[in-house]
Amino acid sequence: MTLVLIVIICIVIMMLIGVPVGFSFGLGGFCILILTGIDPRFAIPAAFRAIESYTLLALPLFILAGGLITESDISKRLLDFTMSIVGRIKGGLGVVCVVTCTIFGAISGCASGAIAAIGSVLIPEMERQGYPRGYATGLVATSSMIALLIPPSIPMIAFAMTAQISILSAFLSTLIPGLLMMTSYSTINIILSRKMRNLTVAPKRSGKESFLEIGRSTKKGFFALFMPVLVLGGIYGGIFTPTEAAAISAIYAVFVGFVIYRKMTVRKMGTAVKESMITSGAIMFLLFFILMVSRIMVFQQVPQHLSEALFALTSNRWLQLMMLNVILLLMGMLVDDVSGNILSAAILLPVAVSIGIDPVHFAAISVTNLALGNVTPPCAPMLYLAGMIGGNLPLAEFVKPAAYFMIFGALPVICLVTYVPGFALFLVNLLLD
Amino acid sequence: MSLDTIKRCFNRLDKFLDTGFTTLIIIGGALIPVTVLIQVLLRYVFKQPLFGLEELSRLVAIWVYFFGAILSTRMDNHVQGDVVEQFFSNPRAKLAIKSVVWCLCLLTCCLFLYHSGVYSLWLFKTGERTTGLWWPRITSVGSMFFGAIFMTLYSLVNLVKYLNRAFSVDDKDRRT
Repeated sequence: MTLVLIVIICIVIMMLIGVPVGFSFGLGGFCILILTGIDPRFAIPAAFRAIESYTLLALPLFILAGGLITESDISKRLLDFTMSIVGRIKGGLGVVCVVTCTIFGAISGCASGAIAAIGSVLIPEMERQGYPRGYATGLVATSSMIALLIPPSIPMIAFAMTAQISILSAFLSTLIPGLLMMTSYSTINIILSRKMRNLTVAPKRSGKESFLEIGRSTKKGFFALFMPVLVLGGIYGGIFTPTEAAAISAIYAVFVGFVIYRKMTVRKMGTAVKESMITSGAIMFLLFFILMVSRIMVFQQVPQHLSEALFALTSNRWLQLMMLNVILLLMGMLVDDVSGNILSAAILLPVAVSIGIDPVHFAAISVTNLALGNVTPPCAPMLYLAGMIGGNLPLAEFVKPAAYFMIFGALPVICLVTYVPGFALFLVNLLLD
Repeated sequence: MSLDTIKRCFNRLDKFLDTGFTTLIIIGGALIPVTVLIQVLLRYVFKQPLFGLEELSRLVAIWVYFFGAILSTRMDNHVQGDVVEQFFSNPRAKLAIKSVVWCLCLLTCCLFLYHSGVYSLWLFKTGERTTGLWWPRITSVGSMFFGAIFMTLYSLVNLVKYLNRAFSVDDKDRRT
């Protein structure tokens, strides 16, 4: 046990100095195998079988779908649609950003995709209407978190597959938190927008004109708006499995991009496929080694010892949950959402279960905390990505507006998810029990 | 053979491999959703799912994963959380850290190569087959060994690249 803990500390040190997460776990895993004398034929085939699974195919396929959606003009149509509904109120463009990120989450489940697709269009537009560029960038970065909570969420698939829990239950557990976060972000945005004096707002239209405008944008964006219906309706209607829904979503994006909107080219499609598959390869390589280490850890009873240590520190359930929150937040600051959730499912879930947390509830805790960790400095991969999309802005310019959304929008939702199990499990119990 | 000729040969080989892997990853990546879609269509339209099609999707996917991992290694694109590097402003120190990182990656790849090789060889000897299409298991497990070979190679290339850069940073660069 002590040996395994020393190796885990070495893995963390390796990750901190910049050794890729997969390689850190790989080296750590091989060290444990060599030092403890466990037969590698016990750990390697099990990890290989897990990444070979058909259900896990949903992960690369949703990443692929996200890449293809970004190239197919679907996000532009979604933006136009939400703009026609809320674009004519003060602060409306900020609400457009939040709502579009939510809809984008319902078709791709990918935060970086949401930032790239929505940020590149919306940040310049928001600046043109008088929003400070830093504010627009901070809003896009933090809104991308919502895309991770709305099903089908890629990190949630990674978590559910690693933890071997139902993907559908896991998806449902973050739906209400995601919608609440959308509402709280929109409210905060409208409050903050009131203080912005340079904001230009399009003149108000009569009820009939607004109705016609919404009708026009719905017609133009019909194929984009149909996508979440197809993906989520297919999954929850029992027509497709998540893997099949992901494949259909990717092919639908290609069809809409080529035939309907005519914005996709063969070159763009090739680039999207290549980049998505390289990302998937890196994630699967990482998953392979994390699963290998997690199997060795279970064999060595590490989770039991960790939960005993947690109980020794405190038996107060609230404090135990708070400690898990802090660990997840720190983890989210170090690695990306998918890797963080794989790590969390492999290492922290057994500890959480031993202190009496429902695995599906922990899935919701993990995804929400890691999503916040991803936009929390100093590492904050999603915050930096938004900064790059926003024109290589220095962090200082957009970290303050982002902090408003994180503190007043995301943190209360995370507290609700963590400390009120019924909040995350309500839909799961209602629809799947 | 001069150093320039060797360099040119290596560059050509690198370009050839990159083009090859990129082509394979694009074809494989496009094939996966198509095979899944065909299965859905066969199930709902023709009411007759095709036996073994899921196994084909999995086989293509596993090879694509390892091609992706190889290209990620080549591009130094793996998921990482380089916190320590941000505290250094000296370019030589940064490159020295990168060299240590790739040295550890090379070690991991060597161990991975050895163990995946042993496992693949064992499967080859036993002739274990898949449950669906009755294909030899080595067709999918071989991807792990294949991936390990090229990841080891690219880790070595990255290590040499960073070491070379660390030693060639001059004093002026170090001050900046």
